[in-house]
This record gives sequence, structure tokens and C-alpha cells, in this order.
Amino acid sequence: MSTELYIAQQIINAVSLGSLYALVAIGLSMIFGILRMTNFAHGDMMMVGAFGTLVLQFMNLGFGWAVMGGIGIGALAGVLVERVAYRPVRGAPEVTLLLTSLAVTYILENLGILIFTSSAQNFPLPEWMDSAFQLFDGQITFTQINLMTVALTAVALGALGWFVTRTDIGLGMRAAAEDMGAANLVGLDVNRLIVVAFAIASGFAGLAGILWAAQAGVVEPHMGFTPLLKAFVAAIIGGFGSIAGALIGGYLLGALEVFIVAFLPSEISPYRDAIVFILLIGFLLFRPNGLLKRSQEVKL
Amino acid sequence: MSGMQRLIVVVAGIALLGLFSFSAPAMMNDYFVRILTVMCINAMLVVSMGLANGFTGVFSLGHVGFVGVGAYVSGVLSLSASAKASYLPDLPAWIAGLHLSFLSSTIVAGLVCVVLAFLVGAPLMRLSGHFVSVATLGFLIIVNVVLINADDYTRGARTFTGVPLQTTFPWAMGWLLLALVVLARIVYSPKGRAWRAVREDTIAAQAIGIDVLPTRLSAFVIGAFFAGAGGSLYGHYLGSFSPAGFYFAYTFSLISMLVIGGMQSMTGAVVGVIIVSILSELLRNLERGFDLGVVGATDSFRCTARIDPPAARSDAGDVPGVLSQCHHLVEHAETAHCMVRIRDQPVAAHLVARKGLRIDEHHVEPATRQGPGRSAAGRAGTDDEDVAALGQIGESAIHRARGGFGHRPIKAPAPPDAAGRPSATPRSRRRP
Repeated sequence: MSTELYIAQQIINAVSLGSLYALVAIGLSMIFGILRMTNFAHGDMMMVGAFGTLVLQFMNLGFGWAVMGGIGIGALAGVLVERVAYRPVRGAPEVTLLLTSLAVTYILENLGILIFTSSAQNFPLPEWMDSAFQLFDGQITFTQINLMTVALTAVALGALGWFVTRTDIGLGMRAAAEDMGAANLVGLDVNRLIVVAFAIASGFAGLAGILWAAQAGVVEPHMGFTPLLKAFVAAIIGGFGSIAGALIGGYLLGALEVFIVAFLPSEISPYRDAIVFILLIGFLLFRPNGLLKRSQEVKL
Repeated sequence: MSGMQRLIVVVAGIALLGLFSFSAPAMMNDYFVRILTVMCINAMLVVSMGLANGFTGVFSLGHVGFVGVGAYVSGVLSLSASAKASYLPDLPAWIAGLHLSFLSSTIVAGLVCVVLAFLVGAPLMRLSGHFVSVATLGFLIIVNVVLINADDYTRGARTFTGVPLQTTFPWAMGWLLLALVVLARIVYSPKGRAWRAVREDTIAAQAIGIDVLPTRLSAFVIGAFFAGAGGSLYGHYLGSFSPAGFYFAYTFSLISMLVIGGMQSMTGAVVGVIIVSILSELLRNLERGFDLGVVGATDSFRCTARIDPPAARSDAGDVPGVLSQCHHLVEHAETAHCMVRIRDQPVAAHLVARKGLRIDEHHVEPATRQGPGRSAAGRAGTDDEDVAALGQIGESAIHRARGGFGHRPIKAPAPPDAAGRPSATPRSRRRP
């Protein structure tokens, strides 16, 4: 196998994985930007979205409809969680928000275990999505799901870019992220903006969950946790609170992970997650505002 | 000093309960003493966690990382030389020859955690707010990855077993008392006031001449000592454990104990542990059988375990161990009505054929689809989780049969497997 093709294969893997990280990290970053909260329950919207799709498929809905329904269910779950759990503690110290979201995580995952048991469920895919493409005598392989992942991520990101630059609500969200108090003062309905932000973020997470489940072939209640942790890293690399930063962070992290496994000796590659989190700690210490965000002065 | 007085009352209460439980009937006694022991260990962990999280305002999610390090360090040190030779053949010679007593290995575990906390805390304690939480979460994950991959020292993701069961109630109580006395002395001293000042207003604290970094770091390091020692107690209580036990689930449960009791009070931390422990024991018993008219659960509360094809395991040498765990599991499954889910036809057949054991339900599932993205998506290590799940079911089955109320007695524990090694599950006890 030639080196160039091997590298090309790894780049395909990296883009596919990075898209998923970016989808999750963007939502995380949006919520952090507006509410200043680290939303641990964000990963569970992946689980909710994937299980939603699974259930809709069992109800004999077409796959496309099931996916859209799953995204919708994920978005709805996000809005619901915001309304029930986060709004009452809004404005409380950071740690309170963080603890609330941890509790929500715990409740959602246990709810998932209660309903679907803790063992992994098969995630059925339609025939046409299960196929793989092989180029150069099988030296480069990618699946329909890889393609779908990249395509759907691009569509979602394009829509988001249009939304936050061209619509009133999107512009309002950015204003609220800049300074929530001022946004309130100029007459923006902050509650509505937050609901929209949660709907978009959770919908993205739901989509990521469905794609993740499609790649892994299974759905399980704890599936959201690992990607959530990685999304934290991605969001912080890019600059926590910045949408473009989360996008870049997601792809960088995906590339880093794939390349650690692909190019480092096998004694080191099992430590992939450790390397990733050492990187996280390094960023927090030396470049806490990430790659993109300008540093802010501390408000007294 | 009312804080101190409240603390004394609460601790005296636990001690009295401990004394009282010794006079209870034998089976109840065993059950209560075990709950109290775990309660003491958890109280020690939660109080030491509260030092950084509650008193200093540095919300660390990495405390359980220190607990895990403590459990493994003390476990390696207190294994007998012969056990080391069979379980951990690749240990460096100087550790392999070491065999410390329970007390000294616990202290060493605490000290190792102190050094580790100092190294980790020196950079991390500069952060604040949620960033310190995310960074310490990173520390927890790094510890977990290292524990899983440092095969020579920890047996990797497999169960680390053979640790002598030396944590009795007096030991746990003694360590808790020591922790409370030491920590209360610090918390209600000028040092402790500095911690609280940093928590309440970092800038104001700096303005009156408190150096923030050493203040936070001292709370983190002292907390880590008792986390390591508590980890050692926990390890010597369980006898066998795996890295999965020192991860998010345990972190969550300790945090909930801390939050329910009140983060900024030592008495609160102890009370939180008591409340959560009692609640979870009560709920555990409820879970066993109840009927709400609409929703009813019967005695046969079902558990599931998956057993992946042994051949898929990285270490083929472990297959007999897995099989013996299966046998053990099924033996208990018969008494406790567990549902066992076996993914591998030969293993299932083997189990059914054995001594006429009857398995009511066994599902033989197809192996999950392996897409090219699967390994890249980071879903490795499921087989290890399954082994852990096995262990837990064995544990809960034992617990139900031994400690539960009105349950059928259990058969003799599973015999050692062919290699003469005791299987992991009968030694281990219920998780708290």
C-alpha cells in the first residue's frame, strides 16, 4: 500500500470523525456562549436523538423521516431540559449550573437504561446506506455513512451560518452571547433566544448522535458521554463560546485522534485519550481563549 | 465553635450505630456492618472532596482519580509476593519484592496521591470556575487511560484481584475519625478561613494579602491525601476492582452526596453520605419486589450481561477466567433469576451443558456490524466493560442472597478455576 493512499484514507477518516465532533462542539459552544454554562447533558441529546430515530423506525417510518424526527426529538428534549432544569437556576454561580447539568445527564442516562436497558441496541440502516466505496483496489475505503456524515454536517453548518448572520433571531443570539444584560436592555427577548439556541444545539447533537449510531451500528444509553468529552476539548481548542472555533476545533481534534492511531507506534496509540486531554489542559493553561477567540478582560 | 460541635455529634452517632450493630443478629449484623463500613469510606472521600470543592471553591471532578490511584497503589503494595508472581508477572523486581502491611500501604497510597496532586494541582489550580472542572475531568480521564494501559502494574482493564480484605469497620471508622479531626483542625483555623475567603471573593482575598495559588493548592493536596487513603480502604474492602469502578459513576455518586449534604460544611458532607447511603439501600430493597398496581416489578428483577466471543478478547489467556466467571454468574443467576445474554454460541452451549444448569433465556446475538468508522469513532474496549458488568451482577446476586431480606440462601461459592486461581466474583462484595 502506498503511503499517499494511506494518508488519504486517514484524512477521510479524520474528516468523518471531525464532522461529528464539530456538530457536538458547536452546540456546546453556543450554549456556553450565551449562558456561560458547561452543559454536560448536551451529549445525552445525541442519545435521545439516536433512540428517537430507532423508535420511529420501529414505527415503520421511512429512514429519512425517522432521522428528521430524531433530530426534532433531540431538539425538543434540549428545550424541555432548559425549561425544566436550567431556567430556574439561571444566574446562579457557575458550579450550580454545572451540577444541574450533571444531574440532568444522570437522569437522562438512567431513563435511557430504564426504557431501553443498558445493553446496546442494533441500529438498523436501509440497504442503500450500508454500502461501501472502494477506490484504488480497495486501498481507500469509505462508506455511504461517511459521505452522509460529511454532507449532512456541511448542510447543517451552512444553515447555521446563514441563520446567525442573516436572521433577526440569529443576530440576537450573537448579541446575547456578547452581553446578555445589554441584549435584554435593548429589548431582545432573551428567553426566546435561549430556547432557540437550545433547540439548535440539541438538534445538532441529535443529528450527531444518529450519525454516530449509524457508524457504530449500535445505540446505547451511555453513547453520548465520550463524544461530549471530546467536544469539550474541541470547543476549548477553538475558543469556548465561538461557533467557528468549535468547528475548527472539532476537525482538528478529529484529525489529531485519527493520526495518533494511524501514525504513532502501537505502544503510544492506546494513550490517545490521555494525549487529547493533556492537550486540553495545555490549552486551558496557556491559551484559555482558544485559537480563535480574542482574550477578554475580566469584568469586576 | 458550633460547626465543630455538630460534627462531633454526627460522628458520635455513626460510632454508636457501629457499636449497636455488633449486637444485632448475625446476618443483619453482617449487612449493617458492611453498609456502615462503606459509609465511613465514602464519608472520608466526600469530606476530603469538600475541601477543594466546597471550602475553596475549586470544583474538581478529578477526586475519584486520586481514589483510583490510591486503590491501585495500595493494592499492588499489599499483594503477597506469590500473588504478585501469578497476577502481575511483569512487575519490576523492586516492587515485586515489596510486601507492605495494610496500614503502611494505605499511608503510601495517600502520599503518592499527595505528590501527584501537587504536580497536577500546581498548574491546574491557576484556573477557575468551570475551566477547573473541565481540566480536572481531563485528569480523571487521563488516570483512567493510564490505569487501563499500564498492564504490568494494574492488569489493565481486567479485574485487579487478590487484594487482602482487611478493611473492617473499626479501620474505616478510625480513618474517618482521623480525617475528620485533621480536616476540622485545618478548616476551623486561619488556613481554613483563607480557603473560604478565596472561595467567596478571589480578588478581595488577594487584596488582603492571601496568595491564591498556594491556598487552593493546599486544599487540593490535603484532599488528595485522604482520597488516596480512602481509595486504599475501598480497595481493601472490595478485594477486587477494575479501572471502570473509579470513573464517572463513582464521581457522580460522591458529588451527589456532597451536594445533598451541603458543600460548605463538613457535617453536611457526612450527613449527605448517610442520607444517600440509607436512601440507596432502601431503594435497593424496594427494587427487589413491589407492586404499584399499574407498574409491578417482581422478585426476578432482571439483570443483563453480555459476553462477547472470548476469541475477540485481546488476551486469549484470559478465556478460562471469563468462562469461570460465566459459570459463577450462571450459578448465581439460578438463585437470583438474572437474565444472561450470551453472544457466543459455543459459550452458551457450554454453559447449558454444564451440570444440567438450566438457562431460561439465552439470546445469541449476531456480532455487531463493524464499519470502517467504528474503530475511529472510539468505541474500543466494550469487551472489558462486559467483564466489569459480569462482576457486578455476580456481586449483586451475592448481595441479594446474603444481605437481603427474606431471600433464598445461596449455594456454595464457585470453586477456583482450572488454574487454581480463585475466580474474581465471589471475593468481591457489593458496591456501595
